[in-house]
Amino acid sequence: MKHGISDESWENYLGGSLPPEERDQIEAHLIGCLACWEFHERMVKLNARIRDAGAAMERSCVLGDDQLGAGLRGVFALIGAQREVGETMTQMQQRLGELEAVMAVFCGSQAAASAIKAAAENSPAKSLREVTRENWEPFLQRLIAIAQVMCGRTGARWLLESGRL
Amino acid sequence: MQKFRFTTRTVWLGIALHLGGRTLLLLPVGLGNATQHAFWLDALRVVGAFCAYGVALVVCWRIADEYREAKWMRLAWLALTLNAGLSLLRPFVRPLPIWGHPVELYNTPPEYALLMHCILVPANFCLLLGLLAIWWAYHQIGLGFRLGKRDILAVLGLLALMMAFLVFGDLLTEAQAYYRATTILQIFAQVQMFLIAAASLLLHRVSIQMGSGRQAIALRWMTIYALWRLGMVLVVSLARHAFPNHAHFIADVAQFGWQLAPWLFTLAVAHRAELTALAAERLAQIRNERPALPSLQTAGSGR
Repeated sequence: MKHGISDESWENYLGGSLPPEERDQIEAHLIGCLACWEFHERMVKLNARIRDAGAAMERSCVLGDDQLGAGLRGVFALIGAQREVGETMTQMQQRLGELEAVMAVFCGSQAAASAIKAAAENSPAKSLREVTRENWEPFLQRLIAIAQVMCGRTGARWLLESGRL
Repeated sequence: MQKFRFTTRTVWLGIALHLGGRTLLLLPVGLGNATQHAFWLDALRVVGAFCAYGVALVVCWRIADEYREAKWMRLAWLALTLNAGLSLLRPFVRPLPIWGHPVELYNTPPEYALLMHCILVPANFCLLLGLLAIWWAYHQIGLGFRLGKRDILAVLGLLALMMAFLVFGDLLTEAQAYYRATTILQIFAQVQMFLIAAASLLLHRVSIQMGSGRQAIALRWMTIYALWRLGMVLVVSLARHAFPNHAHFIADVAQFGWQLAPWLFTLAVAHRAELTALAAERLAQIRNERPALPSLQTAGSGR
């Protein structure tokens, strides 16, 4: 608060919403107080600049409210789709985890993890993170080839049956 | 694996019966006096070894069939099958009490010693080939099974021990054999034993790198079998040299170790067989819940 004028009164005065009696009081004070006059001048200039910048932004934005609304709906739909992709990836990771558990019974946890990683790297997926429903079959075939050495024919069949999507 | 199932429990029962029976026969007379029960002790030796290697032969043959799509593993298990088959003959390459031959527990006639080594050398060769082929098959699939400095040092240590053993070749039981060929074959067999032990160390490294799993247990028992046989050769040779007056006592004690050896091999292959039995059980379970699957022939062929 400066010279009995509150921040709220200043704000309302500059915005033109102050009641007449209060406005007269402030203007009477401004005639006699240089500090308040300078503060008033600075604030008026600042308000004008903010208004001009806002108007310029409004002019540069070519979208109407409807278009903005449609755009936002698109953004939300995309977020929803990404969530679905994330859920599918989680399902694939879960499947890989199940295969690893089956193989670990035979050849140990470390060997199972290495086998699944090697199968992914030598399949079209190229890495474990990229194993998807689409490239699952070649990945599984590659894993079965490793399992035939590590676990034998019956073990490989068990893995194949467990790995069917 | 479905018709006859040889579990590890069956093998442990075989070990208990064989070595338990031997202990019961020796208890009344004491170690070093086995000649008093020569007939029964030798009959037990023959039957026990025949059962152990017989079971191993059947199991190895069935496991070899499991690897029709993995050529190195198939070669490995066929070699182990051949090893078991040749070893099956070993108990019979001595005068047999069950066929009315006179039994001398502490003295093998020279013809039998030669014949025994004629079987032992190819059997050892098959065992060595089997262990190396298993290691090579695992190495080829590129799962990162690598040898560390410690493994190379252990293998070099074994080779150094082998060289030392060859220098002191007189320690061997057939060093002064009637037939020169027996002596040479025994030296050859001992070199093979060292190489088998070295190969088993490679498999032991693989089993450690696997983390856990039943396959690793089977490999560890295979390592124990190889090292047990080598250990027996070294300990018995040194003991005989250090205590020449206690040859009968040493022979009686050593026979426990020698007669346990075939069972250790059988135990290793039984662990591997249990794995197939488990897989078959789970597979049947899944198939009961799902429709039939096309043949595996297309999956991973060429390996």
